[in-house]
Amino acid sequence: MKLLEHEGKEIFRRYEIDIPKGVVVSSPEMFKGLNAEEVVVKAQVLVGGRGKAGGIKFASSVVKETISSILGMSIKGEAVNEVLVEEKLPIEEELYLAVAVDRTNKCLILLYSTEGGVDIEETALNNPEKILKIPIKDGSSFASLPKDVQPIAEKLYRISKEMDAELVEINPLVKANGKLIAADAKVIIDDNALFRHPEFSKKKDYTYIEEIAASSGLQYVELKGNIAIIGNGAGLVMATLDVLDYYGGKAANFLDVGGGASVEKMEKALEVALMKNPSGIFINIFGGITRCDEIALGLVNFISSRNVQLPLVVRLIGTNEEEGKKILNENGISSLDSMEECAKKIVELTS
Amino acid sequence: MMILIDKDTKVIVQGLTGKQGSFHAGKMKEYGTQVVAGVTPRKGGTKVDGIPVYNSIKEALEKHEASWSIIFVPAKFAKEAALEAIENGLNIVLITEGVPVHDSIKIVQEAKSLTVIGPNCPGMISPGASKLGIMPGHVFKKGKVGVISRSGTLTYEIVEELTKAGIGQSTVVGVGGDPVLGSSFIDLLELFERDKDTEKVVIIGEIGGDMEEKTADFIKENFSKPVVAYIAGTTAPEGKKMGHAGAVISGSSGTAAAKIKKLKEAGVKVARLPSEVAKLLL
Repeated sequence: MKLLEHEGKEIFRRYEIDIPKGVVVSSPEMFKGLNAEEVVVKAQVLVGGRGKAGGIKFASSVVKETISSILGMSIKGEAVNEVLVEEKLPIEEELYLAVAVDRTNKCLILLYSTEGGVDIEETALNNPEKILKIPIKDGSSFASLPKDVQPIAEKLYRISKEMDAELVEINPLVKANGKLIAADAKVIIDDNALFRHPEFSKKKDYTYIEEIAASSGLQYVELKGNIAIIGNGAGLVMATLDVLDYYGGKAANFLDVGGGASVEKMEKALEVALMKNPSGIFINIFGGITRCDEIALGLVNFISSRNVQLPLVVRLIGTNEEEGKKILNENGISSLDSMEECAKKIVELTS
Repeated sequence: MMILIDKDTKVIVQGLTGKQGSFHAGKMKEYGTQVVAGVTPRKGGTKVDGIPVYNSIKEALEKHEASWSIIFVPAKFAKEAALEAIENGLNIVLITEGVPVHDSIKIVQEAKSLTVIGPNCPGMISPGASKLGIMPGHVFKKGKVGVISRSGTLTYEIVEELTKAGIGQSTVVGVGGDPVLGSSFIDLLELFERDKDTEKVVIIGEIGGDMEEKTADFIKENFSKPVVAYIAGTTAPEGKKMGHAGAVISGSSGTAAAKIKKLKEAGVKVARLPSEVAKLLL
């Protein structure tokens, strides 16, 4: 779960990392002034690239107008409901500092660079030698960092552990008036750890349908096509999207019912899948822990109660396959054993 | 030979008395796995499917020998269960999904030389010998191809095609779908390299992270046997998490295309469709 910049900065403040003087407002009237000659008004959105999209503006006199122009903007589909108004800093130097998860070394890693204020992934590509990487394991130390950066690194490490963060990033970490100040904050909390962070209860980067799906234990991602996909297992569902694409179809969504889905869960999955009015439905189930008869029952219940007339292809194999197919047959629904045959068929039926 | 587990492997099931634990322990026993005991705190003294339950691993090991524990415990308690097994010298298969990444890091660090498979994985199977996992046993057939995968059901999909084509498997390991894993593809390839009964390996990868890319480098330098791969997520959009916590693309790396390119450069044959894997092995 991504946090907004001001939420990340609030955490920094609690951990005694210097942040610019600033205030969050959701309307121009809320802004009562900041003791600064020039300010920067920053859209508070989760999506990246807000600067390029005009979501960051400097202002000295027309602050309320600037606030007004950024509020109500839509940056890459995300509405700007809040802005952070901060003092403009007299920047002497811009650094990069972050604590991230190093998948390869299976530990946390500290990243430091003097190339702050730019896209770190570009630096990694073009000037990798400018990024100092310190895997954080037994015996590692931050002694190779500049002395004034070390305490901030220690704090980021603590934040990472205590907040269960996948990423805690300051870019840029600005040197201004001899102090190091976090000019930006990017904090991503591990979704798997939200159960132990009740302070982060609301998920903000879901669409409406994704929210409904998540509350039913379904993994759902909206896509741009017209064929609804339902499957069990993220890898299998991703492969289904790929196979469909191979045969000329475009998926309307990714939807994983997970392992051991019940009749009710399958019905919910269908409800969610149909919310975007697809032209057809492709169900791909390889039941291990998931039982084919439960899936079949959920499908049959849903189709009959909603009188669904859409083209439908079903692939239903694995645990309780015979029982599942019997239920489908009794209700006039056929199935194919091959996922590729299903893909070809649904493309045909919806073209 | 096969890697990691064989018919003599003795296993403890943590979370045996729960819904998942009891169901799968029964299936494992049916398959022929030596499930010697179960552990659920406060349920010691009971039995599930004839398997004795103990309050702790320590208690279980006083009465039984075991070298592995398979863990079916909710995410909130997974770290505790895993650390308990590790403290008692057991290798672990951590089936649980939703384990916080910081917990996984701790588990991996404490394990040291013990093997950790998972978390968020279907487990592993040496067909005809032993199953430490939730995969449907009938899909697998004993043979000479090692299979390593980040996915669960996609593994069954591809393995079923292999079995239908008469291509049996030595050991199939689901490494898991999370960003930090106890055993990476490289860890397992090292074992397959030394296993005289494994002649070829299939890798089933997906978007997110750079494990497949690092594996490609390893294969170039250190792996002598033929490898065939399938990478899921070619059509996945950037910036969106597709199910697995590990399957997210950020920026330009971690895409299926990038992985496929590197694997091909390392001499790996990459299937365009799951069904093509079997064809590429022949």
